[in-house]
Amino acid sequence: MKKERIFQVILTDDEHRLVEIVKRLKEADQPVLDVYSPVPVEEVEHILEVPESRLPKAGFWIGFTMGAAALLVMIWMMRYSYPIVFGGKPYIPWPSFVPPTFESTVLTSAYGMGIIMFIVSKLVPMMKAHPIDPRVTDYMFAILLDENADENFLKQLANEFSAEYKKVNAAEDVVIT
Amino acid sequence: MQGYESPLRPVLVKGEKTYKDVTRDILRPILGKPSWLWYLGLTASSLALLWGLYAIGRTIFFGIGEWGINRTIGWGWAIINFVWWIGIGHAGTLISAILLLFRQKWRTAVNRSAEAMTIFAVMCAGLFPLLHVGRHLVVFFIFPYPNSRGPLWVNFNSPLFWDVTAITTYFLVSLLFWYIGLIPDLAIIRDYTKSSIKRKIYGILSFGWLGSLKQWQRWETISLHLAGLATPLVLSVHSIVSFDFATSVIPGWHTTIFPPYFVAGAVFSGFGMVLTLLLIARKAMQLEDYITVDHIEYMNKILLATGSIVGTAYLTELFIAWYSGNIYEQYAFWNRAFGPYWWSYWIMMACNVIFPQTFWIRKFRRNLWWTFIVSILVNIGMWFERFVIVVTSLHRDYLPSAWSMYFASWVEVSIYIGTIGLFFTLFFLFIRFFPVIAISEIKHILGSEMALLKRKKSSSVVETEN
Repeated sequence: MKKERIFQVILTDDEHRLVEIVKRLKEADQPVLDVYSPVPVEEVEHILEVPESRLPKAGFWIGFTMGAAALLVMIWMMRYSYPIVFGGKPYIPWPSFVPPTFESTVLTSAYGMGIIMFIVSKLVPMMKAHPIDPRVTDYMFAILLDENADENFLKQLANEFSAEYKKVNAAEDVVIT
Repeated sequence: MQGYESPLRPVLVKGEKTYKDVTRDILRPILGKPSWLWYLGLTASSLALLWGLYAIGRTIFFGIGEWGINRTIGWGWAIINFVWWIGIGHAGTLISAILLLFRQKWRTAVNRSAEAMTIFAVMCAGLFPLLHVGRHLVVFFIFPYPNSRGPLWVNFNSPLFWDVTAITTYFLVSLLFWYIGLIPDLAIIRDYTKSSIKRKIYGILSFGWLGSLKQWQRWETISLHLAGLATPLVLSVHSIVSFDFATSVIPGWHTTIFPPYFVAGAVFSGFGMVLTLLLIARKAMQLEDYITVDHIEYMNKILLATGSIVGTAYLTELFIAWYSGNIYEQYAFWNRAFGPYWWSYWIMMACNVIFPQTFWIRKFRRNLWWTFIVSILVNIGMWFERFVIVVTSLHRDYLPSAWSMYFASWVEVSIYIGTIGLFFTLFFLFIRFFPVIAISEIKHILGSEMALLKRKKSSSVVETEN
C-alpha cells in the first residue's frame, strides 16, 4: 500500500474560474501542489511559473547522438569492416547514407522523448491511477493543495467562485513534478 | 499563441456543447452495444482476412510461382499494393503532424481515425515485400547485425534498404504519436465507465494518466515535437518509396519528378480513403456534430490540391518524354497511353485528374454523396497509377524477345483482398474500443469554438435588427 496523506482540493467546472482561483491562490501565497484538468490549461502553467519542459532538448541530443552513431557505423561497415565496390561507387558513398541517418535520427529522437516522458510523468503500462476525483478527466478542474494550507481562505475562495471544496485522502505520489 | 481568429470561419462543432456533452457523444459507441451493421462489417472483413491468410499460406508453401509475375514483369500486384497501402497511410500523419504545425484546428475531429488508418495501412503494406522476397526465413538478413557471413553487411547504397528503414521508422513513430494522443482519452473511459472490467482494461491502457499540470505540459510539448519530427518523416517515406523506382534505369521509372509526385499522390490517396471511411463512420456513429460538412469541404480542398499536383506531374512526364528527344523514353509513355495496357492509363487519368477537378465548385465540395463517389474513384485511380508505373514500364523489356504481358493470379488477388480484410477488421475493432475522435483535443478547441458561435449569434441578431 502506498503512503497516503490528506490533501485539500478545490474543484470547478469552468476553465476561466480555475485561472482566477489559481491567480488568487498565488497572490495569497498558498502553494498549489498540482492542478488536474481534462484539457491542458496553458495560463495556469504561466501563473504557477512551471518551468518549460526539457524534453525537446533531450530529444535533440538523443537524435543527434544516435544519428551520428548510425553514420559512423555505416562508414565503418562499408569502408573498414568489409569493403566492396558496388557498381563503381566509392567506399564511403555519403549520399546513400543520408536516408538511413535521417531515419535513425528521427526514430531514436521520437522514442527517446517518448520514453523519457513516460518515465518522468509516471506513465507506465499497468500503472494503477488514483485520480483525486473521477470527474477530472471528464469535465472538472481540480486544484490540489497541502493539508496545511489556510482552510478558511480556501473555503471562502471556493464559495466566491461557486466551486467545490473537499478534503481527500490520497497517495503521496499523486503529485507529479 | 492562437493568433487571429477569422469571424468568417465556420464553427467546427455543431450546436452548443459542454465538456460533458463531448465525452458522452464520442463515448456512446464504445460504452453502448454495437449495432448489427458493426457485426456484419466485422464478419465480412474477417472472412476476407481469412481468405487472404489462405492465399498467403499458399504463397509461403508453394512459393512465388503461385503468382502471375514472370521473368519480364518481376514486380506485380505485390509492389502495386505495397505502394498503394503506404500511400493510404500518408493522410494520417499529414493531418496529425503537418496540419498541427499549420495550426489547422479542424484536424482535431479527424486526426485520431486518420492516424489509426495510417498504422493499419502500413501493416498491410509491410506484408507485401515480406512475401515478395520469396525466402521468408531469411528476411532478417535485411538488418545490419553482426553476422558470421564475412561479416557481410547490407548494401547501404540500395533504396530497398532505405525503404525498410523508412517504413519501420514511419510505422513506429506513427504508433507512438497515436498512442500518446490516445492516453488522456483512454483515461476518460477508465473514469467514466461503470463496468469494472472495462475500468480495469482501460486503466491498464491509459498508463495511469491523471491529467496533472506537468503531464499535460509534457504531453503538449511532445505532441508538438513529434509533429515536427513526423513532418519531414512523412515527406521522406514516399520519396524513398519512389527511389525504389527512380534509381533504376527503366524508362518510365528513371525520372527526377518521382519523389514530389509520389508524396502528393500518397496524400491524395490517403485523403481519398479517410473520406470514404469517415463519411460512413460519421453517419453510422452519429458524429455529424463533430465531423461537419465543413470538415468534409476542407478535406476536399486538400484532395483537389494534391489531385492537381498529381495531374500536373502526369503531364510533366509526358512533356519531358517528348522534350528529351529520347525515342525509348518517348515510346515508354506513348505505350502507356496507347499500348496494350491503355485502359489502365485512362482509368488512372479519369479517376485522378478529371473527377477531383469538380471540387473547384463549392456545391460539389459540400455534396456528401458526390464526395463519397469521388473518394472511392480516387482510391481506384491511385491503385491504377501504381499499376501503370509498375506493369507498363516493365512489360516492354530492352530485348523485344522478352516482351511479355502480366495477369495477376487468383492468389495475388486473394492476398490483396486479405489485406483489405485486415485493414477493415482492425478499423472495425478500433471504432468499437477506442474513441474515434480525439476527445481531449476537441475539448481543447471547444472554448474558442463556443465563443465564435456566440459572436456569430450576436452579430446575426444585430444584422436582423438593422
